[in-house]
Amino acid sequence: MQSAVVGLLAASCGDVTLSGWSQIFGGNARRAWAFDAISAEQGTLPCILLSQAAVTHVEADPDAEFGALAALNGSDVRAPRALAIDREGVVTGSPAIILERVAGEAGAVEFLAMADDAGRGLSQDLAKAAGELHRFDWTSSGFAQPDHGPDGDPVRAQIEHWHDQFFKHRLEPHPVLAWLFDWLRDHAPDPVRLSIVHGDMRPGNFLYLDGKVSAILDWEMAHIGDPAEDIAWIYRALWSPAKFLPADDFLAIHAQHAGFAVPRRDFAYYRIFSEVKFAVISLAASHSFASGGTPNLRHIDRAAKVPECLRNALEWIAAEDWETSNAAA
Amino acid sequence: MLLPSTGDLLHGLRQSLKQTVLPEVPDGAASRQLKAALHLLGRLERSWDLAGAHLAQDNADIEAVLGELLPQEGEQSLEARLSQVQAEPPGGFNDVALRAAATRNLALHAIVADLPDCAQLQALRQRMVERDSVYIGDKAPGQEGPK
Repeated sequence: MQSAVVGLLAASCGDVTLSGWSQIFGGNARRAWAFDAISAEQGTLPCILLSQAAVTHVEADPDAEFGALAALNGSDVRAPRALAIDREGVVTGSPAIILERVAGEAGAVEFLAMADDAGRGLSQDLAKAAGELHRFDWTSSGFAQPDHGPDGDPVRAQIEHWHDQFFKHRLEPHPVLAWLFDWLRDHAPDPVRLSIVHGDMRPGNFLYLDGKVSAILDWEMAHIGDPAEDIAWIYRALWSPAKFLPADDFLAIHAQHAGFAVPRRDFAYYRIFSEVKFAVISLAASHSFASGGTPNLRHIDRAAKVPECLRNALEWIAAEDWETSNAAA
Repeated sequence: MLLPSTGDLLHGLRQSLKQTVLPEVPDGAASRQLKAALHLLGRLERSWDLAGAHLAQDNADIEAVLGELLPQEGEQSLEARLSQVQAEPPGGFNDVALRAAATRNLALHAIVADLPDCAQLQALRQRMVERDSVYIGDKAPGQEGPK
């Protein structure tokens, strides 16, 4: 296993030896190993190997994740350096990527339990980090433009991506969720700017150290899209930092660092999109357990999360006149 | 009646596992599995006896709305459409009548998903979501939703 890693690292790091090899917790969808790569040229480089679980509830493309991180290498975006990719699963039996291991804590529970001042400061820095990502000029970065479907619209492509996942994983018709996809199609805003969107930016998916975001993690859902999508996802109730920093304050800080402002209505639209997306991820998790793809009991009852998502989405749709506000935006 | 009830049994099972087994399991994968199982037991405790009423209400409401929207006779009538939907009986039911209600519920949902949108369906969808929230133990009947 380790000799294969040495071979993979040769292109980016030269001749290395490995030390401190240990398996660590990689979350619900991945296996992870930490180690140091030591070379005469670069000294000691802390690394992490992330390998897909055999079946996950989120379909992730390691190429897309690695491609996004490689495009961000050397920029001011707080992302770990992408070192190597193992598409064939030579190292672990599943596709894997090797990244620079960044110092910091990732605990969402610990973040949300912070004292108000500390939590507010870190939330403000998260807004800054998100703004830095969304400001990044991906068009000249080598970021591979994915296939955005027949009309070439990345926003619509995201809706259709999750609609496809819905059809693939649902165990019953779910007429309300099916209707919500129609609603999303009919009301999608034109993005102020197309950016690299992380796709799963939230407490638990970034490292923090000394009150600052040291790295944003887990880029397997990165794509080109509307930056409002990331901000709305951050403010999902399950992990929202709203008690530290109201969404309007987050949007204002984000605008300072992104160089453009995300309209409040777009944020509101993507809150509804986020509920639909979370509902589909929940159905996929439930399906994964039901079909024997995972024994993880956190997934067995995930479909029970769907009604709350649908209730929120219907409530937020009813709370605004989308037809007139869309025209006015 | 045979007491303790299923709800009492689920409650006792959850409490006992939480108090006597969980503290003995070291942190790690087994502990995470046990915590997830306890969480699910809590939900089942809140909802194990709601399926019958839930399915009856949901089916009656949907049938009433579709009865207004669809013609009474012919290929587009509710009964004709129901006969065309291939809804497989879902697993996990012991009671024959309950399984039949669940199968009809799946067929009705499929028909709702296929119909063009209208005000009656909008109102129906809202009621369906409210019922689902009660059924899965998210909220008590009549409770306000989140803001």
